[in-house]
Amino acid sequence: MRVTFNTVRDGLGNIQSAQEQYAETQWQVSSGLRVRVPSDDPLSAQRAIQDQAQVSGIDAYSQIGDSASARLSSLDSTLGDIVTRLTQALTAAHSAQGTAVSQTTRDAAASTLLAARDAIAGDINTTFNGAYLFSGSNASVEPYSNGSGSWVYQGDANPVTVSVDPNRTVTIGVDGQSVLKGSDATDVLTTLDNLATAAQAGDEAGVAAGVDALNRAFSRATTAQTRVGLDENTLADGTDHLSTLRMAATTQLSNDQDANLADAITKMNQAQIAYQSALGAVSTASKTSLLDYLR
Amino acid sequence: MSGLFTSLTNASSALNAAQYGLDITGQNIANMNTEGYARRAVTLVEVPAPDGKSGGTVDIGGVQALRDGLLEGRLRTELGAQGQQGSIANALGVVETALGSTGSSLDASLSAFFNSWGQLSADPTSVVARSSVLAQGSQLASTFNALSARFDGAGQNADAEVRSGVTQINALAGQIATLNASIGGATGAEAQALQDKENTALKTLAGLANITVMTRADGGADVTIGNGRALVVGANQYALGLSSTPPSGYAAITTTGGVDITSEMTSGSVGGVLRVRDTLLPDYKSQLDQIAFTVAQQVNTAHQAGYDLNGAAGQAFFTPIAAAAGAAAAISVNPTVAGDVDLVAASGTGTTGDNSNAKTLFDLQNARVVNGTATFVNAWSQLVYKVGSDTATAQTGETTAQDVVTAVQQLRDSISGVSLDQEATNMLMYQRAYQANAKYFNTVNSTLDTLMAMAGN
Repeated sequence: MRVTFNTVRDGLGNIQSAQEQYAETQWQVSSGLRVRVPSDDPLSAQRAIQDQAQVSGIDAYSQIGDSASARLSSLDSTLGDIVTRLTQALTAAHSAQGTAVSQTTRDAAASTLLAARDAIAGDINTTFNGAYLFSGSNASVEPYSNGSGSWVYQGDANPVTVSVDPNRTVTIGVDGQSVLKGSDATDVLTTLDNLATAAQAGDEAGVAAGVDALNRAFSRATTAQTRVGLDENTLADGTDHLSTLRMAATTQLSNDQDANLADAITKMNQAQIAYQSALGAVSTASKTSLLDYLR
Repeated sequence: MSGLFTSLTNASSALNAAQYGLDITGQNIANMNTEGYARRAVTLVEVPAPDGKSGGTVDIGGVQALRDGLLEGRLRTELGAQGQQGSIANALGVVETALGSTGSSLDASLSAFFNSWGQLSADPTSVVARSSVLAQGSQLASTFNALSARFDGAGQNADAEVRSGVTQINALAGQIATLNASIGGATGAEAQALQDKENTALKTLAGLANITVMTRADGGADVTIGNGRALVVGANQYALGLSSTPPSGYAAITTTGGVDITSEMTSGSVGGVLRVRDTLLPDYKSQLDQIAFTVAQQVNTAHQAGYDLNGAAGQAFFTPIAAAAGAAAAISVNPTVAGDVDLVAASGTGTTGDNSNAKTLFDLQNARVVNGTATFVNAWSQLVYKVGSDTATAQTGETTAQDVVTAVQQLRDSISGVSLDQEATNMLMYQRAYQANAKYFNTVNSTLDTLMAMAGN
């Protein structure tokens, strides 16, 4: 074939092509990314979006877990305090039992029982960020009030749970009545009121009934605290699980969108050589002509 | 005596031929970089002696422009393919940039919005968490609005390119018609120069649209466009028209007779931008609208099934949208809800601390609700894949077409292109011929002088 050399068309086209490859690899090395726009690798771009959403979802669960963790800590310490108060109340009630007990001792026991009642009432009405922890889902209403002379539970029986990972939930809003009353006829606050009266009056039967009720309340409170502890364990497990999931998702994200730097640097060097070669080839070819030899 | 004078005449003719050869060589060298120029070759013809005894000479038979009609036609076809793929790649290159990068586009807004419901589920009475839901909902709507506007902008840019392309087509068609008229009345070098110009115009035209060229007997060209619609016949141009069509206002391309031939424009850069404007962008926009519509619909349904902080049934979170078409542009947070954080319906029971509805909305991001097959982020990633894939296909097509054009161009240049080495050889050849003929002229002249001197004595 008869060959004609078109410097502008052939040479410039090759130079531009080499320059384009050089610029592309240079961008990969400087940015650390392999996919700049979806057309660089449509499938990887698609996967990277899903990977990123996965990471965001995991981070959301982690943030929910952080919030739940603070609530669970508050629930745990509150229930621990209720258990302590119930223990103190039981000790005081026992001290008032028996016919040989003095009135002074009975009065002291009654005072301790009423103090325990007040402490437990305060505990059960604990708030977290303005929400009551023991009102079930009725978080804006004080769980127990004594406005009309008797203790009334104003919350509901619906515990509030949150998802701390796709398959794990923990309870952050407890039904306070299930702790203080359970299946008993009266809640423990009323029980403590009655017990204080019985202790002061030397009502042995009343004190005995009150002690039994306190024992049941103690059992319910420790069970509730155990549940909270289990939830804290669940949360810790979930946090570990989320860390593993996040690492897997970020690794996948990196595989889909990050550049292999060693490979990119090698390609950049190759592209640089190709660019220099194209420049050299065009400048050499354009210098060579038969005219140079016709003197 | 008469023989020597004939020899002088013959030498003069040969000098003319060599000089003409040098002129044409000079013309070829001068035009070696001229777009569309076809190499000229001088045809020399032998002139025998009139009496059959004395020496003959040479004459200029003519000059020929070296062209291959088949290759020129093939080149026009490939230029059309290159123009189409190139214009698609360019237009989609802008579109895919407008999609935004991973983690900072619609995917991020979707995740942030639904995750804000997760945060609210952890603290359903929190004013901060409620405000965050409203802020992220507003951000999501803004992202949809911006993307829709970018698609619209890309469509308007494509439409502007269509209009500009048709203007160029008409200008080139007018130029070709004028050249046809000139070619009809021209001969020789002038006609060849006009044909070079016409070929250049035809190549540019082929890069714009799918045309068919029929060479006329006089060397001019008739041109049809689309499905054989007359564009240039002889010296007559049949200009294309543009008419804005509702509701988009995009241009329809019409013949002089008013026939809409928009769908017939399948090649060239105009064919490419038409494909982007009328097929690809509406498809992308439709997918974006479907995502926005489903988001609004699903979130509203869930939100209305819940209860706000006042215990009242939830209102539509987003302003209700009647149909998917235009949803991405229309989506916005219900102003009533946006104005009162208490109206965010996190509760599923009506009690303030209940978070079941917030959890439902948090979990909605994992539901396959877009066309019943994809989550919101999946649907978005599919759209990104489609745009990226279409762009990559067009870029590959453009590269392939460019390679084919280069190959055909090289084939065409093997016949029509100017080789500097060949012209240098020709220059030397004609120079030597001129020198030899000049020497011959001098010799004959000297002989005549000798003869004259003898006659004088």
